[in-house]
Amino acid sequence: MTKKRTSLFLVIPTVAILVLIVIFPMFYSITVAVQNYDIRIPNHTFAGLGNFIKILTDSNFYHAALVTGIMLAVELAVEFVLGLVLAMLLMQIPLSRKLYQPILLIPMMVMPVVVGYVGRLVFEIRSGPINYLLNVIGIQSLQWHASPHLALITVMILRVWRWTPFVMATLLAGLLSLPVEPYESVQVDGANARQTFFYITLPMLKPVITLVIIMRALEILQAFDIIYVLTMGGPGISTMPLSLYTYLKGFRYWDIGQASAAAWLIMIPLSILVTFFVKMMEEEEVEVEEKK
Amino acid sequence: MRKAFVILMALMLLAAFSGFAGGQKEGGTPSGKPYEGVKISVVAHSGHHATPWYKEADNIKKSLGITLNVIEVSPDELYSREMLELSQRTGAYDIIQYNSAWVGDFENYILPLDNYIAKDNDAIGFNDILPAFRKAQDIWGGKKVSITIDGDTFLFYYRKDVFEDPGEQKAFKAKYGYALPDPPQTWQQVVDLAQFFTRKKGQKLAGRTLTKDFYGYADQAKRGRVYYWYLFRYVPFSAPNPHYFDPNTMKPLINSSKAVKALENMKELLKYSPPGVLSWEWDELYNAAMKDGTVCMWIHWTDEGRGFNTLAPLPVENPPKPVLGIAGTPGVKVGGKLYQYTIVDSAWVASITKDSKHPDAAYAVLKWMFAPSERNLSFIMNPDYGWDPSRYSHFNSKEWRQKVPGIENYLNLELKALEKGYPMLKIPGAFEYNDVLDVNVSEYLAGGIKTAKEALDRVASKWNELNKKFGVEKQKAFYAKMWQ
Repeated sequence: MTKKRTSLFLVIPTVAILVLIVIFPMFYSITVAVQNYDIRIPNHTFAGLGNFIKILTDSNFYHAALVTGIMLAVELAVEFVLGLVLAMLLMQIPLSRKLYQPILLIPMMVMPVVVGYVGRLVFEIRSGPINYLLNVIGIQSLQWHASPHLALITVMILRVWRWTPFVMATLLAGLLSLPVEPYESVQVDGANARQTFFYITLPMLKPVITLVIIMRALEILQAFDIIYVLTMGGPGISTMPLSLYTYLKGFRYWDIGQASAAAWLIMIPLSILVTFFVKMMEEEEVEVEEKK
Repeated sequence: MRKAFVILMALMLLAAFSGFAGGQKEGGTPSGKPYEGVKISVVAHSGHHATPWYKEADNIKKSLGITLNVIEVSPDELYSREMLELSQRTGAYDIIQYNSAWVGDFENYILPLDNYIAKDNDAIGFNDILPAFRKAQDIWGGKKVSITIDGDTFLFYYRKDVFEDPGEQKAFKAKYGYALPDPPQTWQQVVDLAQFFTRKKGQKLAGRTLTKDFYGYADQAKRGRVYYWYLFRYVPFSAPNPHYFDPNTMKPLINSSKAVKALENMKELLKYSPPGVLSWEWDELYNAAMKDGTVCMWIHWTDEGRGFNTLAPLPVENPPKPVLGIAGTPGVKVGGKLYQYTIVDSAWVASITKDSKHPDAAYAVLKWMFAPSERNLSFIMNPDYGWDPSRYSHFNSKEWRQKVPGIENYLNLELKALEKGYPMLKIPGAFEYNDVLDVNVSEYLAGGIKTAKEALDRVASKWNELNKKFGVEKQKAFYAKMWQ
């Protein structure tokens, strides 16, 4: 067998699997998105762009997009800052790190459904410990997930609690892998802690930060479990993100055509976002290579 | 090559034997067990609802020869899983437990039971099931399609210990100009009572000082099932001839002026409800009312009625003996006449699937589990299983009365309330119709939609869209089947 044939032979299974699990479902979902596809109705008539138009003229879709956008911006920012601060703190205590790190990782290991249920108890308006503590310091009880204004904040608090350890662990791994030479050099040059952080640590940590942001952004766009258990998207639609919106269309209302159309509409900005971050990562890698 | 041949032969032999075992004919085997070797798969609501099936699996095996395979699915996912398996004709289930509201979606996949019931002279006791449950849950288009598992309905509960206090009675009459109604019969009376009994910690209740805030009324108002609490009002407010749709045109009646008043009543009562009630699911309402004792009136499933003797004392100093009041849900007076209805929850029923390879064996399993017997009564009497009474043999049981003194009050009152049973929506897409109602009611209560009219107009518009999607004429025919 020639080298070319051998390569082809080795590549074919990968391509076949890719076609089967990625390309085929994608094309199939396009065919579904242009049909009036309801599993309970035998004839699936051609809808053209009808499903896309229905989604784009549905005010709930835009509200769900807004909820997702808020979650994306707030959670990314808070988790990143908290995660970085915790990672930096753990860097300062190398001896006791082994003790604190596993403890800080516990929230990440709790199942999201459990987080949702526990959230219901912890934020319970009349008997929950959070409101009890607020009362102790003289603040009136808040309505948390029962309030249309606070429900999304409650969801985000729980999600930040669950996911910050992941951000912390990844950034900590990044910090631990940084070379020590640049630090020694800037110390000789007389740089203070702020300068060291902004001009040495952050730039060198950029690839890890980009990776963390991509992974977190993708997860936030799929946020579902905690919301499903805690609020079911309510009160009203105040905590309904795009994932729950699509789920309800597809698996509660069985309008698979509209659900597929919604999924495609969500995929467009998602692809742009991922492409943007990947490009950023590639550019940084090139920069690092050039510096070397 | 030789090795491959041997493996192939072995596989063929194995297939032949398994085919022989699987192809065993029903009825009459050397062991004397009528369905020896037959396997029946039951898909059931996960957790406590599945327990009776597991409990009886060994007995069914011993007596009928049937191996019972219980597949537990969480109630949230039950519809999706069943719909998927049934519509794809996978034959994964012989018996399905489902909410009878889905019968319109499932009718093509479930077996009518009329012939079975007629053949053995109703050994399963179909006529033992209360008419309210039979009509609202088991009969579809005139055919008997299911057997009630769980006789779910809703009752009105209240603090009789407070209602019977002479001081409170006197003060109520002085303020509202009529005698304190025990139990309240109309929703307007509920509003008055809720306003009257909502008190702050430190104030007096039944002549004693409150140690906690006390609230007049509470709904289970979390998004997801809040529509039930709207329907408790919608149906009586739509008297004397309540309907979800105009049966002749399928025009939604959900945004009528009466429907708007019903939703406004719901919002009015929020003023006298505990804070955070918009996030309350079953546990929160049950705990606040039964374990914390801080709610005066509420509507819930029958769990409270069965657990009447576990009611917490009032949150007052030296509380009186707690007494739970039970009644039918309030009504509305139209032209001086009182109209009260008891919503029969579409709740859990069992059917045999058309794809079952062993329908006779599946029916034998249903008979084993549900025919009037000590066994069936034991499932109902055990509150841990979550199967509520649905049959005359349950409600009139001497054994239950002897075992739980005082239970007769609940049994008699529920029996009486069910004389006015009213069904929930059961046409195809019922889940969607209800969910559209739910999200808009939730949004109105949360303040996202300004007026009740606007919220219900949105529901009506979406219901019209759904009618068109499923076909107006088809839905009209299904809607008619609901009442046959």
